[in-house]
Amino acid sequence: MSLTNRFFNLKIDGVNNLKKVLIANRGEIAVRIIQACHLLKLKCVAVYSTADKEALHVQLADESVCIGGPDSNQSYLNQQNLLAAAEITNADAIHPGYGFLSENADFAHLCEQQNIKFIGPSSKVIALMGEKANARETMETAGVPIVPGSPRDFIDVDSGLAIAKKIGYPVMLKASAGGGGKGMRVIHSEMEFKQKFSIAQKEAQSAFNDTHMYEEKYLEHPRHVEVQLVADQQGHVVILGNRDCTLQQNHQKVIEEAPAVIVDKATQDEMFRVCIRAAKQIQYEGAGTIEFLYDAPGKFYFMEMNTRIQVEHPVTELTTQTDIVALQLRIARGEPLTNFKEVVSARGFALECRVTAKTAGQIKHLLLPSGHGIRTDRALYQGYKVPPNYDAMIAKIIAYGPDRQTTIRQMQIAIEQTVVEGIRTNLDFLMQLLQEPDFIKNTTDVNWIDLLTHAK
Amino acid sequence: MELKKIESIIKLFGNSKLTRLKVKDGESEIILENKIFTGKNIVSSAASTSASPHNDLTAVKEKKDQEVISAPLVGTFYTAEAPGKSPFVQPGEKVKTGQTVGIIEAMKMMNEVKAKKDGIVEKVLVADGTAVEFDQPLFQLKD
Repeated sequence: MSLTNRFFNLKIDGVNNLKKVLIANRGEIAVRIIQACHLLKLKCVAVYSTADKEALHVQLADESVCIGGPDSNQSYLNQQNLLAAAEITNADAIHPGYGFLSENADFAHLCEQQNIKFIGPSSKVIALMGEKANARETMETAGVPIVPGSPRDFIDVDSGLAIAKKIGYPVMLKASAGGGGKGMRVIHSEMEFKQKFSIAQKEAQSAFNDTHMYEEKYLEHPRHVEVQLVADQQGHVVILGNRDCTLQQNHQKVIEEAPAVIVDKATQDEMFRVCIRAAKQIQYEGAGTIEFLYDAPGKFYFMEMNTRIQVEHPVTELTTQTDIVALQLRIARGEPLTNFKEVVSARGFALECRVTAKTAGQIKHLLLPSGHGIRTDRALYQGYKVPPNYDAMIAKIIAYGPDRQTTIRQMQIAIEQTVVEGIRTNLDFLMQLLQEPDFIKNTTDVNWIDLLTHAK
Repeated sequence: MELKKIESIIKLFGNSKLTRLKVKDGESEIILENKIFTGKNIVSSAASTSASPHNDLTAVKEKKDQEVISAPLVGTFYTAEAPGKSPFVQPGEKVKTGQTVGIIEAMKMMNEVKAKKDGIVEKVLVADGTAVEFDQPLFQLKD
């Protein structure tokens, strides 16, 4: 097999005639997808709102179509204009990126009806994983551990006590109709349960006019560990290792790592095994991530499955020497994943920092880090005006090294050398996190940043 | 005015949200002004420069709206109801607000393009059967 064929696999059985991809997104991920399209010699169409006329993805794509006004609802979420843009440019596939319509089952279904390949799993699978209760149930059936909890809602204290006894304290008591912390209590003992139950229930009653309660095992210091997988149309599932995304602020990931060094080999093997089984069971296609709360060796629990490319995919690409976005495209055109082992093991260590804008405005001076072991994914350029209408993430700085300590040092140097003038960013905050002893010793949990920022 | 009194006035002023304070006591008069406020003003207007390109855009668009009819959606633009039929409007013709001037086909649906104001068609800017993007000018009007 020639080199070209080995890398691009242009002529294999079952490969469909995918030639042009419309990218239904903006920012760094749109730029990233353009790079992958061009690698595979696919043409790509950028779409943009009137606020994004000057955006980098518009300039890098082969064609571009303005699809609406600055508000996302008029543009990047405007399903009709997106499909019309695919129609007038003769695009045969749509890559949704992340966010926007990437996990919208209705949009995927519309694409299927219009005979446009939605790059990702089928609309049915998106719908299944998008609905929390359904996803939990499906995963449980496939043998994926879920956080032990009440099998059904209850309204009286005795039922609650019986369940708590079974799953063990501490437990988290929640309002079934829940949200916003109303009716939520962390309970450490039977006595505390008796004390707190009626207050929590009253809170639920007044907030949601519903007295049904729910409880589950409360994890005191959980970490966020997720598994990256890719699955082809022929039913092969390949695991591309795991990631640790424990560093979060208000449930938003801030720094991500690969591999998750906290997880021991036996637990990791078990995680990979259940992920393969789950992906096969739901007939998954494309790139996907199964997110877990990790408690202790052997103790991990399903949170949710993201049926799309994730922001932090570069840390996996660097540690597994893969191109996940190109794989998405190759899978979409029908290529089988036959050149891969079922589990691709990680080599080295990678870190990603999400650089966010705290104000909108024009970038007056820009120096993004580069050099040995540094990758920057961005849609910024000097003179670019960051519009106020969209997500605040403007760049991702990724470092790759032989081990965690070296990579952290590389990242500190990279952040130190980064210059973004004209707008305010979180670069100082990232630098602070990278120097925190808890982070360096790897003893954080998902609440760590929120506690750290409250303490200061 | 006693220095001590002035000091306490300054202190009071500093703790208040006032931007300007004039105190007259017999012949002496002091005026205190909080320049920080103007500073804040500058900061906030600097922050809102990010929004100003859009304001400019809206201004241009408003002006443009008076002179052109733009595509309200993405699709294929047609000047007539069906192939072979005469165009909805031709240069030199008067159009009235709400009048159909063209069609944009998107996902097998025909969407009428309507004039937003009265005027005379000066120019048809896009040929029949052309793919158009959102906000693309289709007709040039004159009063």
